[in-house]
Amino acid sequence: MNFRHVFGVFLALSSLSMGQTLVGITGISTFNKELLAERHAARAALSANVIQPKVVVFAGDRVFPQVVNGGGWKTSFFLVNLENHPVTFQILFFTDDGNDMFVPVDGLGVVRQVSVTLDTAGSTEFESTGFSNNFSDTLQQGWALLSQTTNDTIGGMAVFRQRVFGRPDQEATVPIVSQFDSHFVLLFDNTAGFVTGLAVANPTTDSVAIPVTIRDQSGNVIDNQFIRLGSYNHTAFNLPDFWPSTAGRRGAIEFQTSGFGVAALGLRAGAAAFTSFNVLENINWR
Amino acid sequence: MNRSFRFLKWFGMSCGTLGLLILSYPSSLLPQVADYHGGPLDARQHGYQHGYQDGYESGRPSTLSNRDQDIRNQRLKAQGNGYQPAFGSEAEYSQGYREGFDAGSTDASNGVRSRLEELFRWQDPNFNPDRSHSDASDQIYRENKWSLEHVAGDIGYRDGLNAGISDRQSGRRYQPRLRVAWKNGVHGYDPALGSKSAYRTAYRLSYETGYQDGFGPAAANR
Repeated sequence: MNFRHVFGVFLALSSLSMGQTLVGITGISTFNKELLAERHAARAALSANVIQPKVVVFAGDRVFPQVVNGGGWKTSFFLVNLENHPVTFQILFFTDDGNDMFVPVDGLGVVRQVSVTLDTAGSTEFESTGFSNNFSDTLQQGWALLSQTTNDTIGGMAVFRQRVFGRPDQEATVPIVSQFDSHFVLLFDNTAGFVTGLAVANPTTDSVAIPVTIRDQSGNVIDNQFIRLGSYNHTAFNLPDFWPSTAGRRGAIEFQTSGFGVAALGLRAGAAAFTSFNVLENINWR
Repeated sequence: MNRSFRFLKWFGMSCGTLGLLILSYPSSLLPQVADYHGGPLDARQHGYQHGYQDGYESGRPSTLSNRDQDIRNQRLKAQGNGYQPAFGSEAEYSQGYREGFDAGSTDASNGVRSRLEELFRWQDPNFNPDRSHSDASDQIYRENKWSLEHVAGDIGYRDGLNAGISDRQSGRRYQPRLRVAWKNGVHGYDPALGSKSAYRTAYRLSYETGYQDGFGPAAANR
């Protein structure tokens, strides 16, 4: 089974739960925010000759939009305390339908959350086992939330890794993203053997409804879709599987949520590799 | 001899005068005494105890679902450190809160209870709010213009924590609502604070939290 097939399987598996899960989207990425911050800083510098500090991590960055384990996959978490005092927080694992997800973690056993305390400038790492005696080696998928009772700034990322016998491991990072704006864009490329996927989590107590506008590379609207995502629900899917209008095309998909606060991440798979990418905000199309 | 007598006389009069001065001083300006049942008045110590309490709750292993845990965490985040101007210096309170929060969450994560009990146990081991809920010394909070909810919360938490410790050590069942203090819900109440009903509600809520912390890990399964 090649990588493309496996990636398709894990995306397809998520789509099997769509009946009760529903789809959604939203977000803003730290990278986008960094660009935004730099832009604001540049403007400020022009007007006042003051260089603003670069901001790359926000206190609101708390969603890992994609977590996988089993079936040849495992997920590692890397976390660092950016405060000048100790911090305590939890990493909570959720299934697609918002229930607790039990994940086998190296050294911790099967857990549904991991509590972390870090000293000033301290960092840590933990990873799922990929399988365990308590689980059949099937793929489990969901998302994770960095939950805390303070506004401390925690940096980090997750890395999901695929291991196939006889081939080098493949990895892709999952940045921590914020629940943010109601308006964002996902670039897609479903041509030349590539396929674009989407992972979305709704870390709020409200359901969200998301009108979706799909555009080709000329900016023409080629399709309209609608997504609904329940509270603490998540989904990840392969775009052509749900929206056939995107098959064999490139373009951009615009999402405008009814509420506040979903987090999204793009997933891109080719013949032999895969990666993740941030959705974009600061759109002036309307 | 005569000189010694004069000195003793002078010393006695001085002490008496000093005593009278202290007694006539506004009670809110007296040095902190140990038997305020809502905790210390000093801004930093007060902040430390609230931070410790919140940190202890934050770090305590939870039986809540992840969803409910996150909702609880968001609620705690939204309420902030609870500072009110009547507490004194905001900077000192906040610094104490930060230190207390770190200590509390670390202790809860490590299953350490000694500091919790040291901070919130009554200094007078014979005090029992089940027998007495009238404490003139607790008027100090009203005099310092602390809010009703805050006084009820602070006193209720301590009463509950001490009751929980007592019940655990005595091998009794987890039973906060059978306690007389919980039923009355008015320990530390002063009509000048406001509604007795509101006081009782806040007191009982904190009493149960304190009782759970005092009773210890077994309380989580009750």
